[in-house]
Amino acid sequence: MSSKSYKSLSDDIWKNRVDKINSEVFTLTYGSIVAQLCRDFTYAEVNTQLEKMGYNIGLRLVEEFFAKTGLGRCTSFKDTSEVISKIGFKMFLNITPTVTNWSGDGKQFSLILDDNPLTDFVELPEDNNAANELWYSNVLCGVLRGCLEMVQLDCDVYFVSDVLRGDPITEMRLKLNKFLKDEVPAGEE
Amino acid sequence: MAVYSFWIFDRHCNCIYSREWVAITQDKPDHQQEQTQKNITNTGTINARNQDHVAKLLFGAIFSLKQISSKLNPQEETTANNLKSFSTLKYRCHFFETGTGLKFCLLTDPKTENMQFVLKEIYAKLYYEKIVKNVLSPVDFKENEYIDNEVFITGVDNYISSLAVFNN
Amino acid sequence: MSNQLHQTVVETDVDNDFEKQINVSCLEYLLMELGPLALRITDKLEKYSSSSTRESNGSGNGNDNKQVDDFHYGGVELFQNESLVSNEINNQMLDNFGFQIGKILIEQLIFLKNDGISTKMDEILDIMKIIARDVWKMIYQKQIDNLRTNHRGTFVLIDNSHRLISSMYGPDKHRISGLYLNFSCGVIKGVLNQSAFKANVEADLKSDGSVHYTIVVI
Repeated sequence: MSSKSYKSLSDDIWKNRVDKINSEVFTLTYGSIVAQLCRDFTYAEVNTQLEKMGYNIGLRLVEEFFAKTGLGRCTSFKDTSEVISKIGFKMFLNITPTVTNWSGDGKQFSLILDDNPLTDFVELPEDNNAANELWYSNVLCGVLRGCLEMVQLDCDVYFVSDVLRGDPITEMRLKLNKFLKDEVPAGEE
Repeated sequence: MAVYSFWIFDRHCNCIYSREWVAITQDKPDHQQEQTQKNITNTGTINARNQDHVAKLLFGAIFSLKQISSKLNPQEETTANNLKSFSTLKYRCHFFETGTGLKFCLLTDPKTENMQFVLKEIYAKLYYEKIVKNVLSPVDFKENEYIDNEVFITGVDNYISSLAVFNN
Repeated sequence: MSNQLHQTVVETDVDNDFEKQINVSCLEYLLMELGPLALRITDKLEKYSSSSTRESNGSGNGNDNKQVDDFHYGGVELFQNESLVSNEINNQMLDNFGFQIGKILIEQLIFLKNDGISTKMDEILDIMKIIARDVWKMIYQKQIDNLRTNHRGTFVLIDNSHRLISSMYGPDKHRISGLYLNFSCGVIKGVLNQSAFKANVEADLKSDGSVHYTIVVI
């Protein structure tokens, strides 16, 4: 599928097949959760918990993705990156991150988020190490990892920079570790 | 036009759901049931054949056909050569696989037209709404774990019963 | 003239941000995940507090730790862990999540309704109506179906179908739905608290699937 047809597919899905709400409640709910986690745990642990949350969400969200788009599995990791950025993010968060920084072996790329509904009106506390240790939107990494695992891709997903921390851009990195082999029935090897 | 059975296999090659209204093997002497069935709810067996050799044979057949069709793909990498259905003298097996490796199969009489849209509907409207959105239901089934969600089972039965092709 | 222009620009920005939209599923998945999150946190906190005793005892339940951390099945395994689910702390945790969110939402609602001026709502009935109409609509995309009161401080809110609970099915349904109802009760408490009211809130899942919230203002 070409880049242009991905865009028209995602626009169609967003307009016609998705029930929409204002992002406000979502932003506030997520913010409240992060704030509470930060009260009980270190920032490193909060990052882990957010990622785990995202992973569980991703395992279910991926089925909605396939049910609504009618797409099958991608044929290449490059294709996967296009689908994630143009369709995936669009149909859930109504944003279209940019795909850049491909590694030489084609197994790593970055997503640059210009817009992030999770962080609207959010400011990290200034008086402690939040800006150095907390990845506020880490749930997104978990979601992607969960989704990709359900299509047999073992990936590491992590933030490299975040405007909330004072960095110039918000960048997520996806690294393909290996293809999980499709299981075969006993006796077929 | 009759529907015989409905099967769901997951990406771990396990049969997570089997619903049989008319047996397709000689084991059960029910061949007389091939007349059209108006309402198939509360008939047949549910999850009785998941570990059966029938389930394994069916899965094996599908698996092999998928492998063959992907190797016999004239267009190389642009579009996958997906299996849609296969027929024998006695039945037609309609097949639909999701990106997450879920395989839906519907066995009907050989003259039935393509029922992939039925399987897609079951996936999008029933599997997604009743299984995926159910917090208490696993998304990745362990071995010997089956779908026993009554709302899903009744939903599928009702949906299949309502199809025009089975009601004339 | 230049002042007026500046004002217009600012207003448009605010409008755009408030009208930003996302897929409703995002909120649904987030709320769904609060259950397993609470269970994981409870387990972690218990381990932190008992780790010192474990070290001194020399024994440890290493297997249990592995079970909670290594689940792969989307949170379901956690729900099947009896000892974890029955821990009272989970209820408090979900109540607290709801409480914080209730507090923030009522602030937003009043802020929006009064053009940026925060006013305290004096009438408890008005607040109840806001909960039943606006707060519920924001979180659950539907309003409370019935609001009853004895006009003496007791209210009953009836929700014919709780979004999250009505899609639950399984042997643990009653137990786990009780867990999530703590969240809804917390929301109500949070809203009331922010309006300087205190109340006891109890939720009751009826056999027809409806949820009755009984609120007694103290």
